[in-house]
Amino acid sequence: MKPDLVLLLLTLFVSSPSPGIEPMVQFIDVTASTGIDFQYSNGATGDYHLPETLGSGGAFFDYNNDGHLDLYLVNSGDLTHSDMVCRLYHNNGDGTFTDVTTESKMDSRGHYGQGVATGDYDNDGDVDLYRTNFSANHLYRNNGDGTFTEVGQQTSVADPSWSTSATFFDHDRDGYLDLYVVNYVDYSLTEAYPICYDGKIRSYCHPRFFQGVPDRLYRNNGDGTFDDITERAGIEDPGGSHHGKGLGVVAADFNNDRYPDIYVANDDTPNYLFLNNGDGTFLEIGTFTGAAYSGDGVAEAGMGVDAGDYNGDGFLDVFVTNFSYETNTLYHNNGDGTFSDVSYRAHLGEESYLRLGFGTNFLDYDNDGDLDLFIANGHLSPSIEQSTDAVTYAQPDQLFQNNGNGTFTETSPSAGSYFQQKRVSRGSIMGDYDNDGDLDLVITTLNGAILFLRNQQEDQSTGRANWLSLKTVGTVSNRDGIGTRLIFKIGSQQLIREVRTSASYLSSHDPRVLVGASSYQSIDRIEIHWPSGIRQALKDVPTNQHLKVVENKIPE
Amino acid sequence: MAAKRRCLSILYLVGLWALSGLPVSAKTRGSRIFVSSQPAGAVVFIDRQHQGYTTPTAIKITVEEQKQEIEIALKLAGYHIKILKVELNAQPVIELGDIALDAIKSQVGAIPTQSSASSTNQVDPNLIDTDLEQTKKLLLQAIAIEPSANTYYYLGLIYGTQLQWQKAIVNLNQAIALNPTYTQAFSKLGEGYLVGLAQAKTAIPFLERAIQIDDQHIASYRLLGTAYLHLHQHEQAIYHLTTAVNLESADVESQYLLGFSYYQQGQFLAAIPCFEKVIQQDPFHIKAYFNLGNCYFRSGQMELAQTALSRFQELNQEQQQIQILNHYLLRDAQELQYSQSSEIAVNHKADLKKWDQLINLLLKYQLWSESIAALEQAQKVALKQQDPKQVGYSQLLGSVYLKTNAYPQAVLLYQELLTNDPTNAEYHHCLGQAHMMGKDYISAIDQFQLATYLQPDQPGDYLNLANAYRQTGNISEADVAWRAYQRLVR
Repeated sequence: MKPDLVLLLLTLFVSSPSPGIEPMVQFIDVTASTGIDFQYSNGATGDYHLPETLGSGGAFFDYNNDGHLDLYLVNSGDLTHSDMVCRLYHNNGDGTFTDVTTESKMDSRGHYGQGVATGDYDNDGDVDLYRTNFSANHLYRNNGDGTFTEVGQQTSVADPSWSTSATFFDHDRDGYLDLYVVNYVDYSLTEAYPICYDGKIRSYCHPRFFQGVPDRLYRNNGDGTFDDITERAGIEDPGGSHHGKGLGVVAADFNNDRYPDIYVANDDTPNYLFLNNGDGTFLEIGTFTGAAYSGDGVAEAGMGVDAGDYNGDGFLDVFVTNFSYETNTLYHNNGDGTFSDVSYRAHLGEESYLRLGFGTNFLDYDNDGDLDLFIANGHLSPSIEQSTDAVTYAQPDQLFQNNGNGTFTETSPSAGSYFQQKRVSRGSIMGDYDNDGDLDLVITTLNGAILFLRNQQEDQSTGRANWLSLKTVGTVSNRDGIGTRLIFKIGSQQLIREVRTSASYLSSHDPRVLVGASSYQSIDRIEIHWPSGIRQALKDVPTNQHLKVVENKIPE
Repeated sequence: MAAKRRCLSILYLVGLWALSGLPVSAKTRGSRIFVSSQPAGAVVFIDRQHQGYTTPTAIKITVEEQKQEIEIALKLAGYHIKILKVELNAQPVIELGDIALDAIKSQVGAIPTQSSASSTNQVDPNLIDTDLEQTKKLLLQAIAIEPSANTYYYLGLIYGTQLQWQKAIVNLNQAIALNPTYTQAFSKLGEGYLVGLAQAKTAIPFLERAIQIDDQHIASYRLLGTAYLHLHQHEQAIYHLTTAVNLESADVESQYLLGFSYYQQGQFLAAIPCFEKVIQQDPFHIKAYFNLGNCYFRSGQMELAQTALSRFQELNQEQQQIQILNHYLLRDAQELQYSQSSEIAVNHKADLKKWDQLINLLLKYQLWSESIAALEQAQKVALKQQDPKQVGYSQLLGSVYLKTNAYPQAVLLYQELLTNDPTNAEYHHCLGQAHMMGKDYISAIDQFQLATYLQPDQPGDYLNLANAYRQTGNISEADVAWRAYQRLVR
């Protein structure tokens, strides 16, 4: 571990509860009014192919730079000859969306889509999109005119494995976004696998019976092409021990050395924590640091993952969603290179024991300054209720409010009727689609419509909590500023956030950082630590605005 | 000893190992059961003499099914069928041993742990639950006729095993309503809330009540400790888990949880000896290695941490290998089963090497029931492929039967082996061993005599023969056999 002591000192602070506003937050289902009629299909034909269980994700990104988040939704369809099309919806800026899939030339068929990652890999000022598939993956280069061109093969990132999540990040801080692709298991449609059952009912086989496939790390050459540096970087070791069954990924700087590390949520195999050595290589330290297994040594069924400093100690923690009869796991970053499973201590243990979690987001949904949690739930076995009466197939999603003392309280019962309904949820995509200063959510479901949830908050006595939305534009660093560390000083609080787009499960979110400021009208200081090493600072920044910060080429 | 070595030597012949450490045999107590010898369609009456009343059950009997039905009826009555000797055409009075209150539990298994839901994923539907479902039906019938706390309790256990927790809780509550001092029912109810529904707070009063009724009830202390662990109340957890360990130092799980409680509290040095004790008693306790490694790591003992965590990873990988092999070999089993159907249309050639790998691992981890299942399947697969390994699998199976006190199965298997190879002294010896376990000393004497006739230089058979004679009270023959044994060992 190489902690940056200066930064450490800067970021240490004493956690204190946010003063003032406790807004009443409701998540309102506005799907119908958005005009989005997307229906996901897993193409199940009764053969119980494992890919049918995963569902899909999506992305909030502003593909046409009009200041409004557009929405890309992944579809799957028939495994052998899918005629389903992933959809791009243009945000009209008035709460409605228009399907622009055909106009944008993103209407290719024949691919069983899974997840999506977004990032401006060619630094040309518009956001590109990488889609993972059961077959070879696709990279859609944004042409800047509202259309995309698929360049997966020519850029050498068309990984043919069964890929799930992916993330753009600048692992070597050279100013170009590299790409980490998570792969699941070696699965063939032609292999005669044994038939599996839940009790007496035929069901999907457990992933434990399939071999994991190594993930891929592609280095961006800066000329529009990538090199596969998986082995060189230590992501796939020669001994082949890194064959996890990956589903979720987040790239974040866990040891505050300013190099992005990688955390992978693996299904049924230990999770990975790849520590960035700063020389283009990584060291997998999950087991020894306590971040790979549950607290008592179980390799859980990792699905979705997000990273965030939930307790305000200056170190990014990790939250992983898992299977039913496991808990979701909150790994507290101890700041000394180790992690502790604090799921029960944080009141996230029993609350998730009978749920099967997929998508998850650390989000400050009530803008009080600390990170809350959203979890999308749904079982993968349609027949599960016939083999147990404690776990259901469709399950309610969950919202947890951060109590500011290291614990959470489930607030789903009061957060809107949506949370009273059961669904088979998979991906969760967060973003401020209506630019009103709070984080909204889109949930993907298995064989169903998406759910578009608008965050509606109001404090009856004092009005809404304050907020600031910040978009980074790199000039020396990558154009999106992905990996930028932001330190907000608000009153006695110091909040750290990082710019990233990928987290949760198969999904990509709003690249802007939205920070809650509770009752504060301004933010005392914002420190911006770009991946290039350049630092900037802003003072007395008024809240309730969308701010764009361009990287200074000359350091302050 | 010599005799045991000979039977187990089969294992070494095929390169397997680790059949040491017999599972603890259940404590039995004598009892009597009356089964009226009836024609087809009649009713079996079971007299639970120790409780002094008769429970009639509406079991239809056919000659072919009679034994099975009686066995189920005995389960209903709480008898342990594995040590049951039923001779339908003999005297109506049958001697048997039984395990009193926990008999059904031993049949249906313990209430599952966290991974049980997913572990059911791989079970062939035709190979599971038949017994449980039948027992459940009988219990329901019994409740309809004459409800008792025990029947509700057993029904609760079965529902719990089947992950039907809500139903389990209803039935356990019924058991308590009929018997308000039913320790096991309170304990199971607590376990249902804790393990089945993840409601630690709800579980605690039931577990406390169980302890109030029986302050020696180790399982309740263990569960109570676990509940407090979930609630992050470590002092309380440590108190109850320490009590459990003090009551039974061989309670590995309580010892492990005690270590885990210390670990959660940050008392790494207090946790280390707990995990070390666990590993002493169970060298395959994966989680103990994990936590021991973490304790060493966090207390700065890096080399020891490395060793423990490496062992943890090694065991983990082997466990995964077991699961993967199990899965792929299930295809062989399914193909056997569905060979007449079109469901698996692939002409799949079973790989017996994989079966060997799996059996090796299962035996190494002393997973006896899984070993038996794998060996039985491997035997069938080898038979189908006309592979000579079939005999080896049978021999191994016999050894595992003997190891696990499954002597009725062992008797049948060795009788079958002897049909094909009647002059095999080793089979006679093993069959004699099986009869000894079944306390059928006369049959055992026959087999040991045959073994000594076929292989007169094996001292172990004379020793066993002497033991068998001694059991029948024939001291003079016992002395003859003993002297023969002494001559050979000299």
